[in-house]
Amino acid sequence: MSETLLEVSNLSVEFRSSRGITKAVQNVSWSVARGETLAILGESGSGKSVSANAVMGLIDSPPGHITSGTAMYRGRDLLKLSRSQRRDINGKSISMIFQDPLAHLNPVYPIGWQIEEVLRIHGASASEARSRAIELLEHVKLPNARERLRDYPHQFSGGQRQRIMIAMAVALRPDLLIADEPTTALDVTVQARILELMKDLQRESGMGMVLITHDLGVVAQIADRVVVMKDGKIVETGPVTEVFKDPSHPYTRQLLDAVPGQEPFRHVEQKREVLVEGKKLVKEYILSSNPFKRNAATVTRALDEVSFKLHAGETLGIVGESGSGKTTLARTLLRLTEPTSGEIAYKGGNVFSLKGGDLRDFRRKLQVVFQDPTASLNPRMSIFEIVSEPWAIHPGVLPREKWRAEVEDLLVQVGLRAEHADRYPHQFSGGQRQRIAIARALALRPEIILCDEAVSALDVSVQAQVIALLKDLQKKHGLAFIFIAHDLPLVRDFADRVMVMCKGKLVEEGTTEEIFSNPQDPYTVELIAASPHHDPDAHARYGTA
Amino acid sequence: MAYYLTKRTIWSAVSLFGLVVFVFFMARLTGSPVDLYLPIDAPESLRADFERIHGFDLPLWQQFVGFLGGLLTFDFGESLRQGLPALDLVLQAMPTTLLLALYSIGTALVVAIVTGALAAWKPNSIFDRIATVLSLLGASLPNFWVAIVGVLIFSVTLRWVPTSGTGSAAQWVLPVLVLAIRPAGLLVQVARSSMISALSSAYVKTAQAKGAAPARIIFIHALRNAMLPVITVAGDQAAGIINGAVIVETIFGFPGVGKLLIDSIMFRDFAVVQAGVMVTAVAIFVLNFSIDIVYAVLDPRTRGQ
Amino acid sequence: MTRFMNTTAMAVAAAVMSFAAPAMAQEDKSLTIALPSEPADIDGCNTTVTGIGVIVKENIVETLTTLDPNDSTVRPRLATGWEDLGDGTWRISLREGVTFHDGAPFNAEAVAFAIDRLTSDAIACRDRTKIASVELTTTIVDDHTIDIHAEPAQILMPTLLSFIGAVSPNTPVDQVSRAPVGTGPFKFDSWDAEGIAVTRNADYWGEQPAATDALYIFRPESALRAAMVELGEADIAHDIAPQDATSDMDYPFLNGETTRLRMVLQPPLDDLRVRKAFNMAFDREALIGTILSDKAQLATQFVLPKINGHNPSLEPWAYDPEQAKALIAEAKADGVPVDKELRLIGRIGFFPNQEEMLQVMQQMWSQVGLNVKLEMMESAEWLKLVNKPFPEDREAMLIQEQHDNNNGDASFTMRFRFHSDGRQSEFSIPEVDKLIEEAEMATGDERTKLWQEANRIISDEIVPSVYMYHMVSYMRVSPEINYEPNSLSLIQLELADVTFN
Repeated sequence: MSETLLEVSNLSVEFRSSRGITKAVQNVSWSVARGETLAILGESGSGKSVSANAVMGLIDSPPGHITSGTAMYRGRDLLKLSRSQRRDINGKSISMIFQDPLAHLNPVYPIGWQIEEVLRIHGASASEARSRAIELLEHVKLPNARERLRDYPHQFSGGQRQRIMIAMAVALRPDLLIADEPTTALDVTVQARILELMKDLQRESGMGMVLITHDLGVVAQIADRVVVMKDGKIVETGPVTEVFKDPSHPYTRQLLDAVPGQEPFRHVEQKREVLVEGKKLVKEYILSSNPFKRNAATVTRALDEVSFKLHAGETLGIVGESGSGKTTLARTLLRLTEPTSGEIAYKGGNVFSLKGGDLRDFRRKLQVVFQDPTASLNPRMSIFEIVSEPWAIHPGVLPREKWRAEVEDLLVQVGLRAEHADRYPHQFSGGQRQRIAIARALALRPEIILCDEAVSALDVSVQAQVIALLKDLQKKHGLAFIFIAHDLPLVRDFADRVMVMCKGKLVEEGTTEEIFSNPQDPYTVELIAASPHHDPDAHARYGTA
Repeated sequence: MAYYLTKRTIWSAVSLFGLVVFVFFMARLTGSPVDLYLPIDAPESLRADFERIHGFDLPLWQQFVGFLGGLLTFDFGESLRQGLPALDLVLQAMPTTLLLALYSIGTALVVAIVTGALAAWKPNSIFDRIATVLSLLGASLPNFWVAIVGVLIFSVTLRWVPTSGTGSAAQWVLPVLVLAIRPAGLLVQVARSSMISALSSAYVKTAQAKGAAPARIIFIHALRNAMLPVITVAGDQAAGIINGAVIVETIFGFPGVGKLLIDSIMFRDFAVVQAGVMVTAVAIFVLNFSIDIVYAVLDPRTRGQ
Repeated sequence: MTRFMNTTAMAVAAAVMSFAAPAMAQEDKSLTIALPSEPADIDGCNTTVTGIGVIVKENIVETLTTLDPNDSTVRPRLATGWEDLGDGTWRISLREGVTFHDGAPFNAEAVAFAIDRLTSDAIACRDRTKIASVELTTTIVDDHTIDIHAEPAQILMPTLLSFIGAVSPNTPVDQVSRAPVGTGPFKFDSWDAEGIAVTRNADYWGEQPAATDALYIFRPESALRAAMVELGEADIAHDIAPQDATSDMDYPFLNGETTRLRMVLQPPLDDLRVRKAFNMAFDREALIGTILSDKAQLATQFVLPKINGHNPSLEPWAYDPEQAKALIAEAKADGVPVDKELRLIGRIGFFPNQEEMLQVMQQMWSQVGLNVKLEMMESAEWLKLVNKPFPEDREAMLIQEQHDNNNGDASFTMRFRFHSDGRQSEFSIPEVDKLIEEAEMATGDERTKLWQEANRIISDEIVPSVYMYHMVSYMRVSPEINYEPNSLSLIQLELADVTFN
């Protein structure tokens, strides 16, 4: 149908360091044609970004070395071009956008300047560049484009920043756009719109697109063909509909199976006792330190009269995008911050007036697992020290002689091995580290575990495993969970009841089944619609409006 | 912004006042300076007159009240050594020191930025290694040694520049260079590591993806981001020079504040010490404030507050 | 603020100019003199202060008489004659035909004014130290004759006249002057960041000096001063360190200072044997020609040979470590705490390499078993130790001192240092007190003999200190000029003595 724009053949890249040689990709081949979207799908460590970086000449050498392969574009091998020839192509004929647009935009220059830059580098005059920049911003639907040319990246939202990056990338009407995890750092609703924008631009200009991602839903939403990578090698390739409906490689099947939201809804048991109840919680932040300037405009409400109930042994899911207040709610519950008004009742008493022994008691009963397992484990402490620390903080719970045995038992419970107790966090993978954090949370035999985006930073297959573990532990110990996430499908498999938050307000709540099958509030509807479904056909059902 | 500025100024004024009062009492704790000024065999009458003329015969609290009164009109009293108003002496010496600081830090900054940027572009290259060795050498060499060796080589042996004095531009070359060496050494290292960090950041990748040439990446994209730590350290070094480029001032005969302060301390010239401390503190306050402004110019993210 | 503008403007404008080594043009007959430190003021009533006299004395402001540098005889300057009328009054004849730089006439009234100003309590004139405890009253006889009455009567009045600088009657009486007006061969011109400038006085009463003008600049670093003369940036480098005096342009000269270590007479230093041991264990000769110039002289007493009262028959202690050990052992046997650690206090800034010298001495003493610990102090701290009143719990220690007496007579040293009411005297011995009091009242040969006897007793019988050296200073003089430093050159550098080649 259309000409092949870029053909990568037998590309191998390795990284050499004092610790040895790592083969990042081995013998990788893929191609992308005009008007087509190719997805490179893989988890972390699969090497999915490496081949694209090699094509763009972004691999630092040393330590990276391209040991074999070609990347043919318009009859020339990109890998053999000189630097200045490469610079001529980058940004003009082939462009790339990245994950985390805040980090990828230069914070000290206005966005207008940065867009104009790509035009000026490739020969446009200043005035040409200026008018084209405004045009581009309007094209990517950035509101008030003209006035905002002089603003800086930090003054925009995540979605807007990605639009700006897209504008930069398509400024010179490239043949090919490479997008490396373009929506991973964005909120779900924003993600949907960005993907839509990219698809529209593609339709308009006929450019080819290479989309690198770990998210099967995204692949299903906009890709035509998919290449599945694992450990630096391609395990499967083909049209998306075929691969997803009928995967041939076991790994692909494993990925598809691990996608959350495929199980039946959980049943809500009959009413159990209320463990924790939040009543009309309000948290205000004052934006200006200038006492002469305090007024309504400088006060922001992170929590706006939020109330909730948590029953024993149940999982309460709290879903919201950035700015919804879910993190503030978690911090308030943990007594890391005081609400401006409202109270949280635990077994009848107000959590905020607990003191001394009662407070310690409360803290024992409510444990937490954080999002980033790397940051929440002290790299200088051994696993044994980490998991046994709660007993050091709460003396009297377990005598010291018993610590070793109990630590080993906990590790086994979370799917690790007893001998892991003497190792250090950096020796484990992300998923394993999160397991360690869970073991630590279990140490004090809590009643409630608060999971603050506990699986969001993990790969898909690992996510599934960790959630399975949590469910298991819940059954075994009768734990209650508060499960905070930004992504609805995750919550769907694990929560009994769900709360949806937006801008500090509680928008809707109900059982999982109610929320997913019959959402009432328009925001909830939008949220559900925005989560890309991994079934390519499903996109017709939910629409990408 | 105005609110912030006012708040800052008021707090600084309060701490300045506290500082001056503190120095007042600390200095006088060392006793009467009479013996330092008069010959060792001076008669009692002479000592008594000296004390009376300079107010040392009054009880301490009375001296303090007089001092406070003088403060209101910026009158710090007279220098014991020269009999001239202390504040005038300090203000006269200030421009020399400020210029020294300005020129030497300016030189150091230029050298550091260019060298650091180029070294960071290719870490561990020959250029980088040489630059690192030289900068560490510069940061380690003691001032007075560099000054004297500098004079011996460039003045006496090569006769390229005069030895000392302040009149002509040629006479400023050696002192400025001597003062610049240590900050340059430090700043090269700061600039280098800051640039390495900037060059490995995500937006540099974007710039490369846009097709930007190395010069543009180094000097336009990375440099501005890397400047902040460099400015911080440079400001600190400048403060150090303002406070006490004593050795250079002494050797090259520059009548600056550093030498004035040290001499005044040695001679217990209280009025000049106080005036000097205050003026220097004000200068450093202004310096810090300017740095804040430079920050705001360089980094738009800090402009909100 | 204008100064700031000027400096920057100069720097900017001068950046365009080429770098030229500023050589002193011989046609102008200008002199540039590099001094170690900038004086606090240059008032004519402070001419006895080292940093001030070297600029002012006999250049800008002249004194009534001067002392000959070699034998300390009194020579006329602005006073041409003096007669002792008895009862403490001296009649002084003044030179005629002399005017001040500002036109005022030099006469008896002017002298009376100068003396009043010197003794006034509105300003603390340092020269007053030299006429301490003497009350002077003046009576004008006629324009060129003045009677000066001293209470108590001063035998050394002619010497005292060499401390009285004649400043113009227009000089302000309530503040110290930074622009002195005198009668000297040079007029004060300016004092700014560059230095102090003086120009030749065309109306000078005496011979016109060879130099047309002079500039005093201040460079604390000795090597730099020396380098400046080498390069032609200066003509005279005043008081350079011995290690910088390595060329044939360098002249050593006795500078009138004597160094010693004063001993505080507490145990074990209250024992004469221990004090003698300290002197015997110190190898004086070893330091001459090495750390010190080879022109330095061994000191046997606290005044120089040129001073009246110096006893020429006193011998320096021979270096005899064995004898020293014997004396120490003897003292120890009698229970004297010879092992006590004694502080050796050095005062920073006396002369170059002093710390090294004190370290050597400490080494020498430790070799005979004396326990000495060196401590360097700055002057303020040191002063507390050397001046009375002494604290109750004063311990034995050795304190470094340096003393200059360029005034021709031992009286300027003896009472202060050795009389029981002398502020820096460590002992109180009636015999010594009597000798000092008698000597002060005596004249001629008798006076000399009394001083010499006092010195003998002190040096040989009391041994209150370790006398070290009569010190030498160095001056570097450019080959373009002729100047020979003498024993007063450290405090009095007469520009009129400089001639050009």
